[in-house]
Amino acid sequence: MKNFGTALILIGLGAIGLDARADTRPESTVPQKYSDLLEQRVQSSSAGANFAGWATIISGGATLAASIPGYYLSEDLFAQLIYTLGQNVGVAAVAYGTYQVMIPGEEARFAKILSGTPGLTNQNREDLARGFYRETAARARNLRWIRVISHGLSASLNFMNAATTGHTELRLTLLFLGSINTLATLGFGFKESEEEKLYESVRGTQALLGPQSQRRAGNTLDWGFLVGAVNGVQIRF
Amino acid sequence: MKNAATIAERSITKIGRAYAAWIVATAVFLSPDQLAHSAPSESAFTAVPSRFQTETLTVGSRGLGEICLGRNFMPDGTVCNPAFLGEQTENTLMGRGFLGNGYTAIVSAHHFLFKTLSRDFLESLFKNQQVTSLEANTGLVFTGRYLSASFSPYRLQYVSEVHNPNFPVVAVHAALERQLEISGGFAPWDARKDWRGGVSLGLKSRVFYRQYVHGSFSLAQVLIDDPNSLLPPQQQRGFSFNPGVAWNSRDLVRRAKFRASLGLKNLGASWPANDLYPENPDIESGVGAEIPLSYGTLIPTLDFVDWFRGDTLLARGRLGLSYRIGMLEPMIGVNARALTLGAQFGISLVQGGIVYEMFRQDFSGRSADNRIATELSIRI
Repeated sequence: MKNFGTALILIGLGAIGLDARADTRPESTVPQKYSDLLEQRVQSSSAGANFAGWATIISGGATLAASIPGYYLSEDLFAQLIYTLGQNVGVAAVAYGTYQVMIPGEEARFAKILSGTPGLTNQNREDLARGFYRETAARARNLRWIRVISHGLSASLNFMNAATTGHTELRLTLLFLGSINTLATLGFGFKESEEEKLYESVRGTQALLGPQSQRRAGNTLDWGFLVGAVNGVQIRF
Repeated sequence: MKNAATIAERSITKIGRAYAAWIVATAVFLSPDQLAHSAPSESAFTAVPSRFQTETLTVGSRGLGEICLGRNFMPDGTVCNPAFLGEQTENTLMGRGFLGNGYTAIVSAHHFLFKTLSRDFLESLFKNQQVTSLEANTGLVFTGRYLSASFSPYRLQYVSEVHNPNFPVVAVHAALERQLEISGGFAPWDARKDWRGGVSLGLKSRVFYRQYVHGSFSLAQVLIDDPNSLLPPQQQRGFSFNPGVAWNSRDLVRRAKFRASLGLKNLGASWPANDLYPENPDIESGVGAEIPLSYGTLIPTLDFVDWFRGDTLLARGRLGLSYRIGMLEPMIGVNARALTLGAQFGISLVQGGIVYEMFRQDFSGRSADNRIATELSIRI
C-alpha cells in the first residue's frame, strides 16, 4: 500500500522527470513549441480579456444607469419589461466584466502554475504544456461529439413532431428548427474545433525537428504522461 | 493537388466575375425608362404605411434608420447583407420577438384577419383614438459562416385611422405575414492586406405568404351593409431574390475598416399581383465604416435605396450610427420618415432592445407621432 502510494506520487514526477532524463540534449536546444505557444496566447489573451472586461463593466454600468430612470419614466408595459431586463443584464455585465478582469482563464492559470513551480526544466515545461493542449483538444473533441448527438436527436424530434402536427405555423417552425439542427449536426461532425486544430497544427510542426526529437515526439506526444507515469511506477517497484 | 486547387480557385473566380457582371447588367437593364410608373403615393390607404414595408423587423434595423447594406453585423449579431456572411465566425441560433406600439390592437388585427366581424366590433373602432397601430414579429434566425436562414411565422401589422369627424370613416390595414429567408455569401477573391481589401458576393432568397385586409368604411356602411363584406381578407404569395456584391477594406487608418455594397432587390414574383404590395425590382447601395475608439467601436452607415422608385433624393437615403461597447450598442437612425433612438444590450443568452421613434410620419401626411418598440431575443 505504501509502495502503491509512492507510485501514485511518482506518476506525476515520472511524467516530467523521465522524459527529461531521456533527452540528453542541452536545455537550450530543447524545442519549446507548446510552451512558447502557451506564453504567446496568454500574453495576447490576458490583454484582450482585460480590455473586454473593462468594456463590459463600462457598458453594463451605462445600461444600468439608463435602465433605472427608464423604468420609472416609461408607461409602456413592454418598455418597462425591457428596462427591467436592462437593469438585471447591467448588473450581470458589471459582474461578468469584473470576472474577466480579475479571474484569469484556464491557459493563464496553467501558465501561472508553470512559471511559479520551481525546479522545472524547459523540457518539463514543454511536456506539461503539450499535455495541457492535448487534454484541451480531447475535451473539445468530446464536447463536439456530445453536440453532434444532441443536435441529431433534436433534429429527429423536431422532424417527427412536424410530421405529426396539424398546425401550419408550428409545422413550419419545427421543420426550420429540424433543418438548423441537422446543419449543426453536420457542422459539428465534420469540422474540428479550434482547440483540436490548434493542437494538431503545433503537433505537425514537430516533424520539422531532428530524428531524436521525432522519435521522442512519437512516443510522448499522445501518451507522454502515461509513458512517463508507467516508467516512474516501474522504476519505483 | 496544387494544380487542382488552382483550377478550383480560378473556377470560383470565374463564377464570381460572372455573378458580379450579371448584377451590373441587371442594374443597367433596370433603367428609369423600364421603371416608368411612379412609386406608390404616400397617402395612407392607397399604400401600405412605410413603417410596414421593411423586410426585416428588428430593433436594430429600426433603431438604425432601416439601414442594411453598408453594415456587416446588425446589433443583435445577425447579418443583413448576405455578401458579408463570410465575415461571420460563429454559428448562432436566435429566437426573437419584436413588439411595436403597444399590444392592445392585436385582438383587433386578428378579428379582421381571421374572425367573423360583428357590427359592435366595427362600431367600436370609431370610438378609438384617432390612430391605432401595432407591429409584432416573432422569428427564428440561424446565422453561420457563408449561410444564414430565418423563419418568421408571425409578423403582424395593424393600423386603423379615423378620418373626418363629421362623417366618420375608418381606414384599416391589417396583415399577417409568414416569411422564410435563406442567404448565402462568400468571398471569391482573397482579401488583400492593403487598402484594396476583398470583394464578396451574396444572395438572399425569400419566400413569403401574407393575409391582409386593406380599405376604409364609414359608420353608415357599418350600419347598413354586411360587416364581413366591407373588408374581405385577401392573400398573396411570392418569392424574391436579392443578389449583392460588397467590398470590404482591411484595417486602414487607425485600424478603421470601410465597406461598400451594391445590390438588387425584389427580383421575383408575387401572386395575385396587387399595387398595395408592388414588390418591384430596384437597386440599393450602402457604405459604412468601423472606427475603433479607446473603448468600443463607432459604426456609421449610409444606405441609398430604391434608386429608381424613391420619391425624392432624401427619401432614398438612410443614415445609421451606433457605438458598440461591451454588451451595449446605443444607436441613432435617420431617414425621410423618422428619427430613431435605441439601444441593444445583452450578455450570454439573453438580449434586449428598445427603440424610440420620433417625428414618425406615415399616415396621410398628418402630424408626426412618437412611438416605442421593444424586442427580446434568446441566443443559443
